Parts: sequence; C-alpha cells; structure tokens
Amino acid sequence: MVLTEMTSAGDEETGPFMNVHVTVNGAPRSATVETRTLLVHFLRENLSLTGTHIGCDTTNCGACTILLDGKAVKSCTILAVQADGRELRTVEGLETDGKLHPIQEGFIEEHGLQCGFCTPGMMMCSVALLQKNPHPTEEQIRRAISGNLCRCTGYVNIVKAIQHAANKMAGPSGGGRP
Amino acid sequence: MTVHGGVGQSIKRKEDARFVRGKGNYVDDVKLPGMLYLDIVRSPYAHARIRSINIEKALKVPGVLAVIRGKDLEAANLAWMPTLMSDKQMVLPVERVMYQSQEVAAVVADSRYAAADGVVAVEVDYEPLPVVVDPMKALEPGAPILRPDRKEQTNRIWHWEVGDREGTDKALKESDVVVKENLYIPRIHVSSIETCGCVASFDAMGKLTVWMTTQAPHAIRTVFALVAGLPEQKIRIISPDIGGGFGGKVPVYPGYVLAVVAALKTGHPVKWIEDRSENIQADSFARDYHISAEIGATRDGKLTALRVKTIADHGYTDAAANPSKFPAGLFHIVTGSYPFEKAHVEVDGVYTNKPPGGIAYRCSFRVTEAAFTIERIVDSLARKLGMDPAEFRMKNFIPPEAFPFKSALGWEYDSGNYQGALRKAMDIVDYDALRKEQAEKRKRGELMGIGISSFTEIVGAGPSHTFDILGLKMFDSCEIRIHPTGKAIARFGTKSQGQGHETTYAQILAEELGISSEDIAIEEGDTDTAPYGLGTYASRSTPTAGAAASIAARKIRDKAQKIAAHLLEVSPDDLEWKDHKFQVKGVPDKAKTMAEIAFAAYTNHPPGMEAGLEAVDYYDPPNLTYPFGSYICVVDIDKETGEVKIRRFVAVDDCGTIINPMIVEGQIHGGLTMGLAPALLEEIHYDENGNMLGGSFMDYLLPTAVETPKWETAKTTTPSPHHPIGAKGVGESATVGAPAAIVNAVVDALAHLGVTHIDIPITPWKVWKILHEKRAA
Amino acid sequence: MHFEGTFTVRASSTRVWSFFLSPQEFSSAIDDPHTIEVVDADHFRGTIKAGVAFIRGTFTWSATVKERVPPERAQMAVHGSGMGSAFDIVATLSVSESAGLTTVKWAADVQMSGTIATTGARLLQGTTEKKTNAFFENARKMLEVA
Repeated sequence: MVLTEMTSAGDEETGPFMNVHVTVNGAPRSATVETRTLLVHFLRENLSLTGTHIGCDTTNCGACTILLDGKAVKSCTILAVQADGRELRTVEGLETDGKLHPIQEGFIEEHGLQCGFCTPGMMMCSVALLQKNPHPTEEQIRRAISGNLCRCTGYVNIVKAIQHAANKMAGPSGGGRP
Repeated sequence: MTVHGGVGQSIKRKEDARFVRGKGNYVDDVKLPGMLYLDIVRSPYAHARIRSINIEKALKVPGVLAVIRGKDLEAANLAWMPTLMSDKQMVLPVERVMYQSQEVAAVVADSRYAAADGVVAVEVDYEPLPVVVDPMKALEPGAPILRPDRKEQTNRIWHWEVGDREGTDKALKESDVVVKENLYIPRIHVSSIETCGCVASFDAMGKLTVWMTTQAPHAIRTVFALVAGLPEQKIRIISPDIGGGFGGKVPVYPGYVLAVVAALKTGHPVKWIEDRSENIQADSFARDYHISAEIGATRDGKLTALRVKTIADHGYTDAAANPSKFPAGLFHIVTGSYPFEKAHVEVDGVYTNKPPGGIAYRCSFRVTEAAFTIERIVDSLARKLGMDPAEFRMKNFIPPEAFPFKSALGWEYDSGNYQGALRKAMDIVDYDALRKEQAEKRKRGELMGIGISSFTEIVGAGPSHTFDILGLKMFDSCEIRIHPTGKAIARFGTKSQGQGHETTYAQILAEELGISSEDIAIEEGDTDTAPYGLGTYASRSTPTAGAAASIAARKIRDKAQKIAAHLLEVSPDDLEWKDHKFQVKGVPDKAKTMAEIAFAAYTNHPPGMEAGLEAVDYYDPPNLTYPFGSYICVVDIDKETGEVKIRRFVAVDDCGTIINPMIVEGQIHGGLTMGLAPALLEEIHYDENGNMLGGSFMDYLLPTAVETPKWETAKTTTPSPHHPIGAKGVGESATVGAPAAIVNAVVDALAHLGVTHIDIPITPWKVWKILHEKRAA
Repeated sequence: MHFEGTFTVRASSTRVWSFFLSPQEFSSAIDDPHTIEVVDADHFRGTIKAGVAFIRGTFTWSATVKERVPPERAQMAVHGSGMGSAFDIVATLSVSESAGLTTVKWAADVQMSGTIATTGARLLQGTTEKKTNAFFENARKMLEVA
C-alpha cells in the first residue's frame, strides 16, 4: 500500500525508468528499474540477492540493513536510483574465499540467531559498528543495534555475538578485517 | 561413551550455516517464472455496508491483470471459509466489512508496484454502520448484532465453564480473607519479523503447490482440500524457512486463499506478501481478556478457593486455534502451582468489530492469561495478609511428593518441584539482601520493587481422547530412514520457525540411534514428503514430535537388534544396547554399530526379514507436560519520569530433560523478551469508532536491545515421567511466566502508596500519573 | 510537527478574532468536505473527508477552545481519528490591528499517530502546509468580502 505513494512524486521529473549501476560486494551490477524502485527491491528482485530482508514499511525494523559506501543504511528507505554509482555490501558479501566473517562466526558460536530473518540486517549493522568502534562496550552495542528488531533472541546472545566478533577481529588471528 | 551431538550437548545449530550467509529460503525469496503479485484493498471502516466496488479504473492501471471481489468468490462458494474453531470468516466481504483493514478486494498485477497502484485505484463506496468496540457493550441488550448469519442472535459466541461453582462460592464465603482483582490483558500482536505471505502455483496437471508461511502445513492442506474441494493429493503445501511464527502463522488468512484463486484465475503463479502495517492491522491478535479473579485464604495464609470470570474479546469471528473441546484454551490451568481444593472458571467469548483475537502470542492456549491471573492475585493476597510473597508461595505450593497431581479443574500435572525452582531463583538474586535494600531505599523515598512469578505451564497438546483441531487429533509424527552408509534422514509433521528443530531432533535421534547428529538430516514442512502432523505451536514439538522421534528410533533399534544378532551369530536376546551400539552382553568388543547394521540391512539382511531400515511413529501423548519455573524481577522506578527500569531478571526454568542447553537458553531469552513486551510496551488500541491506533512499528513498540535487560537464566531438571526422554517443551514458558513477575515488581515498588494493580502495559505515563496523583493527595 | 505563519487581512481585529472562534464561520474556510456540530460555546465536533498521501477517507474530530482573550488571543485543541490514524492539534492565534490591517500570527503543534504517521514527516509537512495555507487564504477572502 505504501509503495505507490512514496514514489509517485518523482515520476514526472525523472521519467519512469532508469538504468542503475552499482558495485555490490565488489562486483559491478546494473539493471533498468522504475525510478520509484526501493533499493531493497532492486537488490532482492533485480539482482536476486535475497539475503537482505524486508520486515516493515516504516524504517523501524532494520531487517534490510546493508552498507552503502561503508555506512549502515536501511535499504527500504532509499531508492535504487539514489545508489547509482555507489558501493554496496550485503550479507552475501561477508564471507570471503570460503571463510566466514568474524561476525558470522560470532552469531553461530553465541547462538545469536533463531529464525534468521533479522540476522543479515543485524550483522550488517554490527559490521558498521565495529568499523567505527572496534572495541564497543555492551551499552554501545545495544545502542548501535537499537534500530534493528529481533523477535526471537532477546538480544543477549546478539550482544555476545558482536563481542565475539570484536575480540576475534582485534586478536592476532583476526587480522583486523573490516 | 557419548555420541556426537547427543541429548544434553550444546552443539551449534545446523540451520545457522545458511542463515548467516543470507541463504535462507523464506517465502518472499521464492521466485517462479511468470509469477504475478497480489495486493489487497482494505477497509478504512470498522463496520460498514459495501454499496459498490468499482474496479474499472484499477483494471486500466498498467500491469494490472485482474481484480477479485467478494461477489466473484461467492460464485465459487469461496466468500466464506471456516476458522479453526469451526466459526466462519470472510475471504472477501460480499455485503459488510467487520473491522478496519479487513480485506475488501484483491488486485493481481505483473509487479508489486503495479499491484499497489491497482489497489489505490479500486473505488469502494461504504455506508458506515454502528461500531461495537467494547465487549461489555456488545453484551448489552440492544447492541447491534454483529453476526446475523448465526442462529443465536447475540454477540455472545459461547459460554464455557469448569469446576465446582457452589463449592467455590461456599469456600470463598468461609475464607478468612478474600482478595479480588480486575485484570485486563490488552490486545497484542506477535509481529514476527517476517510477515505472512505465500506463492501459489498450479502445474499443468492441475496440482497446486503453495509455499506458505505456515506453522501447520499438513492441517492447512486438509483445510484447503475441504474448503476448495480440491483432491488432497493435488495439494502440496511447502513451509520453507519461516521468519518467526509465535502462533501468528497458524491461521488461514484470506490472502492465502486469494493467491490460490488468483493463480487459478490467471494461470500464473501468484505471490502475496503482506506489508508490516497490513500484518499488524489485520492478522491474528492475542489476549484481549477482561478478567475478574477472587481468591481466598485462611488467616494464617493457606489458600482455599479461586473464582475467575472472564470476557474474551474475539473480534468478529472466533478464529482461535484452540483444541475444539476448549474454546477458552487451557485457561483452566489458572490454579497454577497451588493445590486449591475448590475452583471455578467461566469464560464468555464475545464478538466485536475487530480483527480475529485470542489467537496467539507465543502462547496459543490462554496459558499466559492463566499464569498472569494466578501469579498476580496470589501476590495481592500475600500483601493483604502481610506475608512476604516468596514465603506465601513456599507455604502454598503443591509439594514435590504430590505429583502426579490432580488439579481442582481437572488437569493431571506430570511432575514438578516448585519449591526447588523458587529457592534457586531466590539464592541467585539474593532475595533477603534485596528486601533489605528495598526497605532502606523506601526510607530515602526511592522506588524499588521485587516481583516473583512461579508459573506452571501446560503444553504438548495433546492426547487424542481430548485434543483435536477441526476433528484432527493432535498427535505428531516422525519418519526415519537410515541409509546403507549409516547416515539418516528424518522427517517430521512439525515446522520450525527458529526453534532449531534441524539440530535438536537430530540430537534426539543421535542419542537413540548412535549416529552422529551431523549425519542425520532433518526435514519438515513439505506435505508431499513429511508424515502428517499438526504442526508447531503451543510448545508442542518436543513433547509430541520429539517423542515420536524417540519411539520411531526405538522401532528401528528393534529391527537393528535382529540384524546385529544375525551378523554376530547370536540370539537377539543375547544383545544389549550399550554405548550407542549393540553388544553381546558381557563381551563389549563383540558389537555392531548402527552404521554396520544399516549396511547389512541393505546388503545382508537376515532371511525372512524385509530389507531396509526405516520406521515411522505417530505419537499420541498419554498426557500433557507441565514445565514450570520461578522468575524474580527487580525494578527501579524513576520518580520523575515514571520509567520502569528492570535492574535484574532471574529466570529459573524447569522443562524436564534438556536436549540442547544452548538452544533452551535462547528460547528462554526470547520468551522473556516477549513477556517484557506486553508488560511494559505493546498494546493494540482502538478508539470508539473501531479505528486502530498504532497499526505500524511506529506506534506498536517491540522491545529493542535498549529496553531489553540482560536476562539471567538457570535451571532445575524434573523430567516428565511419561515422555520417552523426559522432555517437556520450553518455547513459551518464559512468555507465560514473565509478565506477572514484572507487574508484581512494579506493584511492589508502589505498594506503600496503596497501589494493588496496574494494567499492562505499564507505560511511564501510567506510573507518572499514579505518582503525580499520590503526591498531590 | 510545528507549523507557524503570519498573514495580514483588511478587517478589524475584533472581526478577525470572532471569525476564527465561530465554528460556522471558520469551518466554511475548510476546503475538504466536512460536517460540524456545536456542542456548546467551547466544544465543537464533526467529520472531515480528507486525504494525506494514500490515506483518504473520513476522520471524526472534536475541538475544544482552551483560551479566549478577545480580540487578541485564542487557543484551540483538536483531536481527530480515522483511517487507522489519530491526530492532535493545538492551534494558537495572536491577532493585532494596526492602521486598518490586522495581522494574524498562528502556530500549530501537530501530533500524528497510526498509519498517517507512516507517510513520513516530509510528506505530511507538505500536505499540511498546503491545506493550512488554503484555509487561511479562504479565511482572508471571506473576511475581506464581508
């Protein structure tokens, strides 16, 4: 219901379709989309990157969180055309060379997920946090993820998962990987 | 010798491998060639006559292919469908809408956006009708009859009662002390982070496949067959990864049926995924219970009797998922952890102009309402008697030696040790020190409260003699196939929504079969492959399907024993199952592992025996299971803002034998958070016009990491005597037990001001108002 | 959300002040179809058919005059609900006259909840501003004609 009106205003000016070029997880991708297409729909439907989820229509839940030029953003609140020429990172880009990112390991080791639906957004938000603040306190972690809702875990183990990743990334074997 | 991944081990979850990579397969991830999208036109009115629906403009919207209205469905006899409580619900209205946001028409288009454009272009002309929001007013004479289609011309759906009315009246009259509280538990919404949706597709042979967010795929298949008149072998329901359920994904929503109709009408696969706002405005709600409870005791603090009267607001139809014999669910567990001699409960279900209510919120069967009632009013009674609430509970608990215990309202509690759990919680939190601190703080004018909740759960529905939904008995199932190389696959009639079944079921089987849990694949949710079962809700998976896993595995062991005897050239009676293999009694090195036996089952099975190593079990539980726990909550209240801050929350749970401690703890963390949510934050409110205030995440406040405290958990273990491995189930315990602990803590902090109860959610505004009034007075 | 503005009208301050305190008069300056019922001198209620973004339909409203200081100041509180939404407005008027011209300074604090709030502040702001400007423009014309 929301989709139609959020976007119809732009149509007259920019025309209904536009070719969007982005770099996603290091690879160039492009597609022609209606200008009103939300970035999250562009990722999920045009680029078939379904790891980024949709959990609300009011920018509250954070299930769609991705990194846009390194910053955590809610991809349901950005138009695909606004991402043109920019760099995106999604959950699919966390694992490199068959090795899980420390945040992924943290979520598994600390049982930081149950149904898994909020997990990609939660992890991307955490990655952004750890880039800015490699040694966050529990309080800082809780504040950082307060825009990401989880209905299953009660957050205790998510906090532990992020601490796990922070330790791992700081440690000698972690290599300070972003 | 332990088997890898057996019962009791905190192994990491198998399902995580795909979820952390973003490779889960949720319904909205399903994409089929030629797939169309369905979006729904919804009513702005809570009660209105539909004068007309004009679809001409909508059909001209680019990309729109079809619009479905109630009258289109009526022609196919599909405008109405049964609810799981054998009431009727509309797929689409023909004449009247009954609640705000009700489905009015469906638009099918070649993209999500076009479908949404089409929705805006559908013109509906409504004539508003008088709205009934308050269930008390709905019962008054002269109230508009909301369901004239029923024979009974009243808004009372049903009246249900249990217990000894006269005996209870008498016992209360003779009690030295009687306390009465009116408790309202508001309407709340489960709001799993994934909303509901489906993809419906017919193949060339007319077989329907529906990928659906459902917790009960098998029952849904049968309902579809009965409602749509489709042959059941031509229906396949696939419940893929589910992004949280909590009972909200048990009902059959109109959107599912509309997607099937649209697929039939257009000849294309059709996807329907609801928005969050649609989900929160129209999908099933829980609670909405107006409770009046009276409890009696002797002067020296011995409980005598309990009387509870309740008005249950079900909205415009009774669409709960209760066992059919129990319209108020298992609410009569309301005697809780106490051996009342007399008790009486009556509940009236009422229609109002709201969406279906009373369905589920991490508890489907009204057990939260019951636990909240008893734990709240026991606290009030202790206070009236001037007794410490912990001491009062200890004095009155059903003693451990009394189990199995028959409750005043007819339940047979399987096992328990309530004193043990409360003692442990008190030790962890250092109860006596907290009481001292509280007394000192009170002198300084600071507000601190300690709240206890010692709840008894009732789960694992249920025995076939009493439990059914739409006539389907509430068994559940497991089918195991051991492959020649000793690896296995097992399929179940349940469906995980985050509980970790792929891991825990494999652990039960690993323990029973001596195969590493890593070598056992678990599948659920595909009705073409899995055995029939009633699904996952009401904490029933471990008590029912988990038991079926054990029993099916033991059937396999029976056959394996014969094969092992054949291989070892001894009599089966000479063998014993020890250290996860069959060994000749007293000769441990003469043994056969399950892998060796499995290989023989396909290559060298004994003459006269069928080849293969498979078994299936449909488990009919002999009784329900009764998990329990004691929770202690410590709160500090900000006098200036009224904000309640949970300082500590200690949860001691006893769910019998634990299969995976890590997963159980995770379930308790989540359950506690869904107990905190209605206690302090969540409420679905309607104004007098039936207008929903707060139908999105902007107004309906799910707890974030900031509001949620750092839960502390501990356990006691009292196995169920009738479950094959002694497990009881745990998914809902914390949601059931937590709200009373929090409210008791807040009331405890304010008791010296004369406060005996505050209805949930306890918002800062409510507390501030109380403090403000008390200060003024 | 907070809105405020100023406009000037060729009429006496007494006339302008009474216009905005008279339910029949001020309501005639509202473009959207509406009804109004006077409960008593300080309480009015009615319905209004309006639309913000995708939310279009009938809202019920009630208004209470909180403050009357003729011909200088007035404050009114309005509560409305409908379409899965609710709004509360506290509107204040300051009226001053100089050389036959009356200047009206107005301010409104608007709180929205429910579906209407999901449209986002920017969209709401635009619509609300458009409607408010139209209202005062209508009022100005009516006052100057009279």
